[in-house]
Amino acid sequence: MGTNDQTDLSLKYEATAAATPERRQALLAAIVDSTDDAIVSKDLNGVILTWNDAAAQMFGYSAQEIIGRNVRCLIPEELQHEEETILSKIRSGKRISHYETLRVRKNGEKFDVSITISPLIDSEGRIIGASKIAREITERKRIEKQLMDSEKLAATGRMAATVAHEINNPLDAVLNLIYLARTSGSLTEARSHLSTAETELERVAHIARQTLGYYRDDGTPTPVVLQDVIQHVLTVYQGKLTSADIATDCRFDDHPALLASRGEMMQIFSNIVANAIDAMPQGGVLRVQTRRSFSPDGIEIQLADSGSGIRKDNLPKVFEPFFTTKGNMGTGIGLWVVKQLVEKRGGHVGVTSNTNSRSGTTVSIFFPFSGSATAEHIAVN
Amino acid sequence: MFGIKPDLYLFSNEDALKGISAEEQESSGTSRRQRKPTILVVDDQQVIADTTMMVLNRSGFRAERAYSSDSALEMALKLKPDYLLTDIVMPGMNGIDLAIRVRDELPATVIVLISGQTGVTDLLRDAKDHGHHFNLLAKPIHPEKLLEYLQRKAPHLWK
Repeated sequence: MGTNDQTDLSLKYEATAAATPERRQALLAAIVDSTDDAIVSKDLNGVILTWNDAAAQMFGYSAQEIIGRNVRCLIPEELQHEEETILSKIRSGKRISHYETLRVRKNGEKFDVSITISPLIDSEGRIIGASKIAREITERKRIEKQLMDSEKLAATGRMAATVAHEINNPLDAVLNLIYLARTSGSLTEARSHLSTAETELERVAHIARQTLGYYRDDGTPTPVVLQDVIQHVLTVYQGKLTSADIATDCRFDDHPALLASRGEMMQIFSNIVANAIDAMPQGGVLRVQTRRSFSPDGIEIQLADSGSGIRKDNLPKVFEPFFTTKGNMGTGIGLWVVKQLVEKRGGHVGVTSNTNSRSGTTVSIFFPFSGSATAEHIAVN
Repeated sequence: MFGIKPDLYLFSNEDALKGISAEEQESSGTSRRQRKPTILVVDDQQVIADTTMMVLNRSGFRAERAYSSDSALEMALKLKPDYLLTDIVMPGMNGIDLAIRVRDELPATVIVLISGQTGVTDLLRDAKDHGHHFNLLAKPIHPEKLLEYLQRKAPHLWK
């Protein structure tokens, strides 16, 4: 069976377009030219050696115009340092897979790409250059942004529902208290009612101030004390936590402020806390811990619930968009948004979970103090 | 969390604490035209339960309050109130389950649910599917509107 069929096949192959080295060469060249992905090769100095049709289409340079020039002319000014990192990784024989970044066309237009770069090795095993495959991901980025926007809207709606409860109760109390003060026969009694009303109104004002501030946030980084953000999120969700019988146990290390977008930090922790509440309908404990890390320099945050946990086969999917185990109630993008926002800030997030013990699910986040993602973040195969 | 316990009330006795004025306390032994309608107010937010009870006591009701469904059920069975006014989302047994139990035991009691939460319509629909129809008010509500509503719901108690 197997080997005989294979022998027949390879005999038939003799007669095909790939049979001789020349024909194979021609066939491979045709494949390279027919693909939609830009395929480019360069030497170890970054000088472009080959340039396929798709690259010409994508970047706007013809093969004639670009061969012999340095690949740096395709990289935006502010990302020039990437080329050094890429070349040093290639020289050590490493491959770079699906690295998302920006490149620039002949007309100056910047666009989003995903690139894979592999070392080119000659017959003696020496690294002589690199082959680069680039795929334009503008459309995907656009859809991702829409998803993020709609999730922000959904998160806003969820926050609004929680906030409504936090505001409606104190306002009800205030209406009663002012009525009682107004109809009271005694000045002392009236004063006492009014004093209580003041406290209730201050509670409302506090929540309104903080929450509306979140919606107005335009994403500009400012120094943010994560501990404050987390405590505020817990305050906003206090009503839900209490009525679900969930206790909170917080341990905050003293840590410096993080340069970040406060609104995005709010959204990250709001999504995680909302998930924890959903995971413990019969009550439980939400443990929150922040820890200063020195190598790497940054802040580690852990949020652990005591719920029923995530099944092993579902665990790899939790950060996928639209993955949910909550039926119609889940949007499936809460954790995906968390991942996007954490990584946007240069951090990383992970989830561990157990369905058999009492330990539930733990979300761990690390934020480095350094601002933007550096070339160190290029994933290496 | 902001403190909500009203510790500034300078009252000397239990009745005054409930908002029953001095005159009413005096006249409670003598005959009156008519028994006051009784009402049980239930809310886990103590300041709401307390102030609502005080408002009602000042407006011709005989009001008591409970901070949980469990203690409310116990009190209701003893008091047999004309009205039950209860919050919905509370720790332990929620207001709808309380309402169902009370209606079972005390079919004459007028039941009014009140809530500041947005997700309660689902809970009410579930109850409706099981044949239980309840009146629902939204928080915050002005005390005078509440009084008017309660009187309208059982006018025979107010003749």
